[in-house]
Amino acid sequence: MRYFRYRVILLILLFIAALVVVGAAAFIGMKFMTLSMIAASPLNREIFWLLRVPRVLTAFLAGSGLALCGMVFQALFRNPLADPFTLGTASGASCGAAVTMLAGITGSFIGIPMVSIGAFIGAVAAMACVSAIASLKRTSSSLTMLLAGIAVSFLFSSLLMFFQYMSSFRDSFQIVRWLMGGIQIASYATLGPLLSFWCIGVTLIVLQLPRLDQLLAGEDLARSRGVDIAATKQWLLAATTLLIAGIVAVCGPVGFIGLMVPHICRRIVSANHLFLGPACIFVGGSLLVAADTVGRTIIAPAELPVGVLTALMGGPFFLWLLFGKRRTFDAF
Amino acid sequence: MSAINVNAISFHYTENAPVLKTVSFEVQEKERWAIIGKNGSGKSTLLKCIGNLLKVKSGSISVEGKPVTSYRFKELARLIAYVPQAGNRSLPPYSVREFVMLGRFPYQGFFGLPGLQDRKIAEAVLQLTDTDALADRLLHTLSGGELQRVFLAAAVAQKTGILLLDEPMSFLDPLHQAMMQRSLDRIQEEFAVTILTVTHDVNHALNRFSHICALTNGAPFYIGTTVRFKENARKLLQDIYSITFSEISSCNGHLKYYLPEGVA
Repeated sequence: MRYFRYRVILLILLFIAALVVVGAAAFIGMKFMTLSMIAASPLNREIFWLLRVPRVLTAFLAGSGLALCGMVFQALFRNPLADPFTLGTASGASCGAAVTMLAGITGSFIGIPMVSIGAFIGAVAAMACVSAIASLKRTSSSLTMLLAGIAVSFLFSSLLMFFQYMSSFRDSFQIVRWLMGGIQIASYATLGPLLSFWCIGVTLIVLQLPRLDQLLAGEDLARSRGVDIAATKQWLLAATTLLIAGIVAVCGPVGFIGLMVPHICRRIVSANHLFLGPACIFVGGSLLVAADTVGRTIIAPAELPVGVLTALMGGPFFLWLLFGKRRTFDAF
Repeated sequence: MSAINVNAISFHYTENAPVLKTVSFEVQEKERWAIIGKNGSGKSTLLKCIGNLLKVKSGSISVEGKPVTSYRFKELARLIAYVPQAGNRSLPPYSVREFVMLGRFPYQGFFGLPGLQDRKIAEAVLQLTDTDALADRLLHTLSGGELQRVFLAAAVAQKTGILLLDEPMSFLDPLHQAMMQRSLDRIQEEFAVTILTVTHDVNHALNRFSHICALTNGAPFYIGTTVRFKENARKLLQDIYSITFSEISSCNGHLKYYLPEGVA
């Protein structure tokens, strides 16, 4: 049928575009490298394989994961404003990172910086709080979870502000810098765990894609069509927690991608999650890779934090889509 | 074996505020039941209990001879389809065709890739409900009458023996009501379905349905055939709605209509 063929072709095109972006990004940097340059010099080889490749891969995993989680939360809460940080993960992670910095816990554990581990714990703690509140109320109501998430988010934000207020100027700046997000710390040591969280999280989410379509149509209707709503929500929550915590630990709370990429992709391949899911992975990943590449070249040898750039680059593109001719956002 | 057996069920959302009080009735295959009663008398709740969307607090409901709770979710979804009230629907950002395809979910595997069979059924249902012309429109661009038929189409695509409809005729002008009725007649003719409908239109209930289930404050007030209801319709309607009705015959005298008059 035309409907499927058209969308499958679109997905293939998006996949190729993502490959091109990822492939090209590794050669671009403070110094543009061609294949022969990399082959010729051991230093170039080291820069390419040890710095750029893990960094580009990290950016792709982070961008695609954030976009996918945004898509999940928008369907789960039937709310176009939901994003990966709606349930307080970003503030939880920030708080965790801040505590680690202020406590002076530096260094790394099997190559992973302690700040990342702190952020991971904070993110998981925030999500655990939300789940605990929801299960205490013995409800799987989306609205309860959403409100609990916002409350938890505020709780951790004010804790973070308290820590910042009490900290020295230098520590405070370090925290602010972390909040902007960035992929500088990327290495194979952080890529490994991130990749495993990504694989588990993405697999779990992809398996639930058809159920997301049903949830978006309303819980009564989904239930009447045979969706086990409580189980579906639990799986999705577990998957997104792993994925977001893993990403935020490495890259900090990078905004915009998780909120906007699902909307962009809905325009391209429709809201059918079987297509929307893969589209979010390709577009989200490419967008963060592109933003990071610009971030590390535009004022080289200094770097712009990627969080600053995602919205700067994605915003106009999104507005162009918003005021474009086709679908409106009346219902998403 | 009856299609649905409702056995002394009770339900409440909060303690001390019963919504359904020991309701019992039995529905045979291919019957058309109209559930009537005042606002808040428990009609929609009864429908949701039958669809296992709400768990009854006491009593039991059997579908095709087995308790509703004993079915697996998808299994039950192949026996019962449900259309929510127009006011309680969220409109997902899908086209009509995409939305009707969602009704095929109970027949798809865990990963839910729709097959050729699913697409054929969806196309057939679109035609049956006069929604094929709308197939590529997005849901939120449709009128209330069109939406009612699209939601019905999605339920019919589930290919169930039982349809639970919550006020399928509300917000429809006379033409769209007639179109909706035509769709329902065709569906029943083609798939031999049992239909349970919540409705506020007493004339529609009395003229188009085989059985009536009337609730007052969550308790069963009248349960039985429409024919028997009509023998004493004015009195029964007055007791159900606390308002007097006058009786009018149609021009050819075959049908009787009831018009509300004033508070009794």
